[in-house]
Amino acid sequence: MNEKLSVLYNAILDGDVSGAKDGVQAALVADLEPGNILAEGMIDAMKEVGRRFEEGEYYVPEMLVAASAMQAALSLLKPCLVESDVKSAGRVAIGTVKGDLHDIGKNLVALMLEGAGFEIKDLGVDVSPEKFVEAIRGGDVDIVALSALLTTTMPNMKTTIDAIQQAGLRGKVKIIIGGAPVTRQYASEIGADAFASDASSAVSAACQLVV
Amino acid sequence: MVEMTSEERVLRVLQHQETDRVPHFEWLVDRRVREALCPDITDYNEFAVQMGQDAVIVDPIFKKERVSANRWLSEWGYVTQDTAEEHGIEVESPIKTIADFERYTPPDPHAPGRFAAVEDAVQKYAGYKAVIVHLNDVFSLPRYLMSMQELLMAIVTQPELVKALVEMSVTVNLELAKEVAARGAKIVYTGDDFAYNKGPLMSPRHFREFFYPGLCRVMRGYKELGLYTIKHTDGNLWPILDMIIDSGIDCLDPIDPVAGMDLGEVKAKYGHRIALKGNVDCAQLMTFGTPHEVVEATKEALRTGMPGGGFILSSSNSIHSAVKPENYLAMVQTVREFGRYS
Repeated sequence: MNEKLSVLYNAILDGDVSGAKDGVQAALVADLEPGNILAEGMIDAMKEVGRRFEEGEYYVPEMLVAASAMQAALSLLKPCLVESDVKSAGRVAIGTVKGDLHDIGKNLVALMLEGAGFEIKDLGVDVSPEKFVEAIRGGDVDIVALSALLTTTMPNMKTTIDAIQQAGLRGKVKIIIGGAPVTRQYASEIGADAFASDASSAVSAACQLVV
Repeated sequence: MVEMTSEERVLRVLQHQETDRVPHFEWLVDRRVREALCPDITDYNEFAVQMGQDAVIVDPIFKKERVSANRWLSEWGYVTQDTAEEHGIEVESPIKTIADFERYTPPDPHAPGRFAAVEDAVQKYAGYKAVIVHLNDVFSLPRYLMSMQELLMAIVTQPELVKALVEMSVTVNLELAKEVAARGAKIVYTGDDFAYNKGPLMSPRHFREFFYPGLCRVMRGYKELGLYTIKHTDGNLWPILDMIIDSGIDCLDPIDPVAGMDLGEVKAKYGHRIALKGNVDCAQLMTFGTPHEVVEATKEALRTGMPGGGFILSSSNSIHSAVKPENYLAMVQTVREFGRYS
């Protein structure tokens, strides 16, 4: 890997926000392609974060700080990505379903997806089925990601999928669901396209959905 | 064996002595389940008594003031929003930096009226039901005061702030516990969650550095006041379970099967040192299953937990609003029928 990119890569792994920002600046000054900076300096770093999480080397705190370093770096790189017409891996509308105010799982998934090159439309928490439908209608959504922490709010995942279906938009998007009470079986029962048990597996699932 | 009072039964379980039968109680039974089963009873503790629970649960009273239609500012300075469940969720937190912490003053543990509910419960139930007071240990207060996400990040980015918050949590809770003990309650439970389904919220190394020393201090402090301790935490605890047990707790709850905690395995490894409380699955089974399935799961928990004593039967968290009332009833009837020591 290019030396400048490896500085950026390591800053992200360490959750070093200013190091990651400096890394992007240095890579841009050195005239590296924005697409390469994103792919090798950032997406690869977040893949490594995901791997370390799966292996039990990283826990949620390390993942969160790495993702925040990635976000800081990405915000600097974004204008250059637009200028060079670098396409995102896909566009994801994500939210915690109606009645549920828990956000950390949803935030982690959003951060990891962003780190994998997806464009994120974060609808927040307590998101009604209508809001998801509206987001899809607004266009530019390939994947809808639904989160729920509670057994009591999980049924609103079904309500949301039903609403998307009734609005005639089901064919336009892939749907991925996850959260503490959610099981693979539940995902298939309610007609979701994929189930993810954590942020790292959400990335693999999303990547497969947009292939 | 002679029929014991509920208080004796629970205390003896916590002391690892024989009991007449397995005690059972819940931290919370949701209003909708209570109304379905006992529509005429409005008092929570009276419901617990009616259902044959062996304990009543009380909290110190902290004021809260309404700041919008569904939001409340607590005496601690964080804001909660109402949910469909009986507890709100914190949505605004007062502390982000060490400077915020230095300006922060926690509520006075000794404020008048703080223990009115504890006093009532002791007066009404002591000698009859076990009176268990809900306090905290090292995680919930830092989490409420910073938000979960900010707290977890601060473990890496602001270690001194996390340590200061843990220290404050220990100090305040030990002051609260003095008042609890002075009022004659004998048991406290702490509900600070350290884990989620897949594992601890932080690495074992971070748990050891940031939370374990405080956990030892607060649990030791409770013991020095003569209080028994039941430690509740959700999630898969295996990577940090030795530390939790070594902190000096008397009982672990709820051994969540959905998070990969196996009652038999925990009992085999730690049953000689602590009592266990749990663990009929309320996330899936009591919500979506049938009474027959709940009966079978309760019998299985009894078969596993009862040998040698030191076991309290309960759900794997609480009787939340989506638990079918008939399933809760099935669990209660099963422990009554099959939870007797011969």
